[in-house]
Amino acid sequence: MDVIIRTVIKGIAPFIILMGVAIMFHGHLTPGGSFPGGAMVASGFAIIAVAFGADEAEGKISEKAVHMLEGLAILVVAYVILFETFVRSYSGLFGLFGLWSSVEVMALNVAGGIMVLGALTLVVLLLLKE
Amino acid sequence: MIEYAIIALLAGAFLTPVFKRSCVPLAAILFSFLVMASVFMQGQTVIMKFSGWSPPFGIVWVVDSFNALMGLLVTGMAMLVAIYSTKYIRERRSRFFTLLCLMTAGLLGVTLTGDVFNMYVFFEILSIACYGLVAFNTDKEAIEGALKYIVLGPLASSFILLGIAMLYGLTGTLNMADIATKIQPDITFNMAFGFLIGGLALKSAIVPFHFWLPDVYPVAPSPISAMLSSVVAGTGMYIVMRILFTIFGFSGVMWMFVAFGVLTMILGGLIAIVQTNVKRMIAYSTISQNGYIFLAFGLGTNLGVAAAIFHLVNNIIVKSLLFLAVGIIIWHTGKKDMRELGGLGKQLPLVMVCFGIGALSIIGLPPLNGFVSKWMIYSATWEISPVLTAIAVIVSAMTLIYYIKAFASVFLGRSKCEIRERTPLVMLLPVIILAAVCVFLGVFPQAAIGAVESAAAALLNQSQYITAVLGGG
Amino acid sequence: MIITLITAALLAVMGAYCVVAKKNLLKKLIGLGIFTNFIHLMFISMGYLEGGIAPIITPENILSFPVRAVDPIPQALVLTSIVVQLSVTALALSVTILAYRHFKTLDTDKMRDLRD
Repeated sequence: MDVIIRTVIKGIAPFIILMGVAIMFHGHLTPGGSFPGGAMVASGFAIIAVAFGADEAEGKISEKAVHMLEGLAILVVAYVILFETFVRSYSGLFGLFGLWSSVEVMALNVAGGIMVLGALTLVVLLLLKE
Repeated sequence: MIEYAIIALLAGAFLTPVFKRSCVPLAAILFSFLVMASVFMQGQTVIMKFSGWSPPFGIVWVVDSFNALMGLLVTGMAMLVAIYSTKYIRERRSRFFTLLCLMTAGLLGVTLTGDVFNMYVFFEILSIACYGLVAFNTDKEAIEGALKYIVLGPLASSFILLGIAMLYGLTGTLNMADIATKIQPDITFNMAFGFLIGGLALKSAIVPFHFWLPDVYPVAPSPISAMLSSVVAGTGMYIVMRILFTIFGFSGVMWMFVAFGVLTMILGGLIAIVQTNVKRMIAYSTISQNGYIFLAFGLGTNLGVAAAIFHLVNNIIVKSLLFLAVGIIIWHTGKKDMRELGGLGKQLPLVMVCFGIGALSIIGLPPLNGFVSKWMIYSATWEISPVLTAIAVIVSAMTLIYYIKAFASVFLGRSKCEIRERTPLVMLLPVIILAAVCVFLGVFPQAAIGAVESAAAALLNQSQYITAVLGGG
Repeated sequence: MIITLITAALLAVMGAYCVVAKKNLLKKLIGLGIFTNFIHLMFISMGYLEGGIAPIITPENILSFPVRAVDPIPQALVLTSIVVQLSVTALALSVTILAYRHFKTLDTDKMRDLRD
């Protein structure tokens, strides 16, 4: 693609990924959470894939890594849900209004964000390989 | 207890690609069927609050007799179709069963919920699974049908979302019972109702929104055609009835629905006569029977609504039977055109008998279940206006014409193609079970009529629903 | 708030026009996305209060929160609906790729093999 697009995206893509991760982690305080955060990180990877070609994007996050990430995220979600159902007294652990004010919601947000990220990146990579 | 049904279905849907065996989705669907059967047998209204938040703040699932009946039918049909398709689908099976489990989860969620937005979310899960399943055989006409469905389906769902958004803006709550207490005869409520019914009419293929159905339903694989045309259309009718009677509380004759029902019946019947593709003809017949249901519940009387629900039940059973029987024929010969098939009666006698039972039931001959439901529709319309009864009888005669034509060209006459292998038992078993249910409900209709009348009473009794959800819960 | 509602109405008209009148399949899908976004915009702007604050509880505004905060329910519902629209668009794009392989064109006028 164009020199302008490549230079701009080289500078912007890390910030997009970082902002997506921030939205994921603060999901229990501000609007956002797992889905918008995961979608933003996946858009960061998608924008690298569009500008530099699918191989460069696959160098940053390969299909095998995506599958492993998804498995890990599903395990975290299952663990949090089981823990929450059988041991109910876990919320509000580290104080109110702070970053760690509700641990299981944050864990679910991060794990869900990784799942969404994995799924959307898979879609982008598969569609680009056609 | 009920939530385990949906959890089992969703777990089955997500675990099927992991363990690539077909016992995982079958076990999930069987478990949900057993849960729904136990709820149906108990016969009480079950209210389930999620996470302990009571309405109107939280999401509730309300199961009265109408919901229990629909849930039982949905999971039963899903189980029969899953058993049938273990042999029918020969490639990419894990994808098929994942989508089938997701579709059943969506259907069950729509029928069980008592919250308007929850219904929209499950309806979308159902629609997405359907888009994937219609495009399953990736040949040319399947892709064309899937394209039409994928462009028109989200449009219909957007209109439903628009209606829900307007309802929320007007009443400030998303709970069905709570909306029912805040309805006023205002023009903005009529607009919301119009958008909702418009979107649902597109999804249930009522004239004038029926044009996508004959291109979409036949190109799916046969078990999916059976599920789509019986249960998905039935769920569309269920949502319309729930919105009409429980949320908006209409009663008395609604001439708009009667008019649409009559138009749908006549148009579906007329176009079905000239079809040569068997599945397309049965799809048009589905449109016609949906018209019967609209006509029946547009009447608003107790008998009318009971007749509509019973015809819905019969439609689900008979349409599945017809599509699965046709599926056996297509599995053997690979042809769908009636002009190329012929004389299969000697080679597949069991399939001929079951198709015959299904066709006679839909035409309305005694002693089958179609006769009972059509008789109820005739007596319900006789009280309002004898003209409607005359139209219903004429459309039954049209149904007779095209089904006799299909039966004669496919099963009787000279043999045009060879059947080389025996039909597998798992494909014959659902067909035989459905035909047996048809005959049983026709000869002993008392069991079904009891369930249907209590369902109609629960549907029309809006105040009982509201006190059950808001007062006691 | 009137501005957002007028913008939403314009989006609705544009979206509906694209779905109905354009012949290229990708343009129809874009029109579908625009139509869904009209509904989301209308839904969010229904919950707006003049001079309202974002619906986040902090130690300063915990007392006046129910009066001054913008309605958070439409925001949650629109998030859900955006996810749904995303899945439908992803599915529609894969079906479009399959259709392109069969028909070798994206013109919907030429994709009419199914007739009575």
